[in-house]
Amino acid sequence: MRILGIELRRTTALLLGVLVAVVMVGLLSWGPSTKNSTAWTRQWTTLAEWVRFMLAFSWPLALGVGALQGLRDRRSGVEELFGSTPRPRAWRVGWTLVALAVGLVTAYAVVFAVGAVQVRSSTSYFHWGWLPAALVGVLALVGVAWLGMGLGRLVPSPLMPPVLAVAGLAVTSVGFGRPGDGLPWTALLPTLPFPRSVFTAVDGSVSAVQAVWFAGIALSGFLLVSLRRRWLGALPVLVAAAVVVPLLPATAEEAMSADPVAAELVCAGQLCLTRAHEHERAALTGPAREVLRLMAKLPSPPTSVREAGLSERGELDMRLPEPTDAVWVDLDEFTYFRATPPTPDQMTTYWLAGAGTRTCYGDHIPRTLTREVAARTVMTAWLTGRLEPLPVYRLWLGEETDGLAARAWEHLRALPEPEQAARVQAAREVQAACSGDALTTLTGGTT
Amino acid sequence: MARAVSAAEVAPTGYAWQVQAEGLRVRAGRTMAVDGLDLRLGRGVHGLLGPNGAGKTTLIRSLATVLRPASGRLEVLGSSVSGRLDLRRVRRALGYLPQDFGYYKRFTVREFVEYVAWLKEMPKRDVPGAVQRAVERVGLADRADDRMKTLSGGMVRRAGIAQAIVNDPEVLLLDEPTAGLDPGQRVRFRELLQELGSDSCVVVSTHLVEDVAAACTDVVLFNAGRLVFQGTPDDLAAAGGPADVGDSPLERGYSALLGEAGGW
Repeated sequence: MRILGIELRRTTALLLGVLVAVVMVGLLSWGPSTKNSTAWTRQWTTLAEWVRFMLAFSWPLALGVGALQGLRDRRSGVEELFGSTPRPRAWRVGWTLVALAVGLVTAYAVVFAVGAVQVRSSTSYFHWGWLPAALVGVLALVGVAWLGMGLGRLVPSPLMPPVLAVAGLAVTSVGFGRPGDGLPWTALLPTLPFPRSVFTAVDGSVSAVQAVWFAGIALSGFLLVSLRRRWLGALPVLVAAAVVVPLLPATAEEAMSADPVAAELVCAGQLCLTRAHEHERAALTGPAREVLRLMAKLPSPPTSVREAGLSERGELDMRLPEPTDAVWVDLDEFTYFRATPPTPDQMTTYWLAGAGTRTCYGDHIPRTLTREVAARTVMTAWLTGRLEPLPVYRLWLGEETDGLAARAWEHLRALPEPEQAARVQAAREVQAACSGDALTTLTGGTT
Repeated sequence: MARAVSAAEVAPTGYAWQVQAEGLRVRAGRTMAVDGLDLRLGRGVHGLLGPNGAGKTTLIRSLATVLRPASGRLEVLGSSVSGRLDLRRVRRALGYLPQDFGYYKRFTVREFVEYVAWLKEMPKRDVPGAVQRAVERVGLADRADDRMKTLSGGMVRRAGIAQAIVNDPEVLLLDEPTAGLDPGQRVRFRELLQELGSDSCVVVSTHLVEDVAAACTDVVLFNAGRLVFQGTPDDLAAAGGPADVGDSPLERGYSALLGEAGGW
């Protein structure tokens, strides 16, 4: 243990640990990983997945710094002296490798601790499903540092660390695409695509396959550092590749599996939330009650507010039909999980839009968008009694929708009261089913 | 300083000579640097003298078990080091200061000596005491907790001697240990050598004849991979006459013997 203490103090191990922790926490606390419901501080799964995503930067760093450590023996010229000592080489370098591992595992744990403290206070959905992905990440990090040390010993040139770090970055940048891009090969990367949904997680079988692969890399690193016959060091990687490649996932669906427990709805009163978002109940009960109260004007009003726990995000051109007996809300839209949470009034407004229906369009914005938005605006106005632009749809379409909505609103208000209610009810059904044109339904075809 | 003595240390030795070579041939690169050497070394300080390229370093490296003999027989502490045998027992009892002494620059003196003690598989409980004693014996106690890279050339050499003697070796191999030492340090070093030679076999390679005169009990004169002369410093001095080149009796003996062997 004294030797481990010396190695920790006198090698790059602690420096590497500090660098990895600072780089990862720094990158995670800034940019897309802090946004939306999939932020790294909101769910255990997304914490693990975002940390894995950021390995794109710390993994090449570990490779380069490992290589720097690998240069030490040759550049210090200690081989002659140490060659005359009885302690086997594997044992001697073993402690150096352990020191690197201690530095990296500590750094990884620190990154997780920083995230975990925040996750604990933002979700009540705890589970251990995130652990395999997290463990694979730390194995990949330690393994590549060892491999770097082996390669540094193999080619003891001062150019080796920077060249390896850049090469490592080139490798991890392959994984920056959308989920499923480049599969099956991107499954060999230490990184994961950044999380899109809190209701999916890396499939356990993928983590198992990756664990074998990175264990092979780590073992290769160890052999490269410790063996006299260095070509043997290639064996574990080759064996691991032979085992793993046939088992790699071919599609995004195989790589990610749904988390049914996270998406399970828990109902209390008239508000049903997924387990993942159960923590938000206190903040949402008020708005849910208010929305249902306002919608009671409809001939067949919805009786509950239910969360649509969607594992597919932005993949479909058009939303699937949804029943009209509930107000379906998608908390994962960018409206709710923000740096400063919306007020109850804002939530009520969001949910009332389109008489408690969700928009139909997906990634692809249709030409009929202005008509859909105008219809949703008018439906909301009928419930609240005030014609106001919807909060999120101003953008560049503002003027056009305002004009359409104003004309439709005039037309609707001119009708007798029961007819108004029937039309709004019908428009709500059209909008819920995403078939037909809600604005036509509202105005009877005049606008 | 008191220390525990293990049973292995007081057990009778099973060999007559600490180092015994017969017809030893060792290759250094393409040349046969040690070529048919017969040599027996017991306790005491053996000064290994010879011109550059005589094969001194190659001999020391093979004694240190770093180089394997090409042919012949070489026994260190009664064990053959020629074949593919387990060298761990022999290596535990070796001390070695290579000519190019490599060290980890970021380590402190104490850490480096402790690291070598660990590599020599010393019992854990003996290490801290042994390290302190070794560092004190070379006069580096006040710099023991300084980084190696902050030391001067002479201090690095002394740290190198400290790591070599930390395990109280039975065979101590010092390849040009006095290079970089100033005259005062050299005098202290010779005292240390005499002390060490009283209970172990010390082999010192040098080309400074005065080191040999002052500290060695035995001189091994070596040229072109072969033994030219082995005897006491007085024997070496006696070999020379007034007609030989040199400023001292030893130097005249040295040049007389090498002249015969065609070394000049």
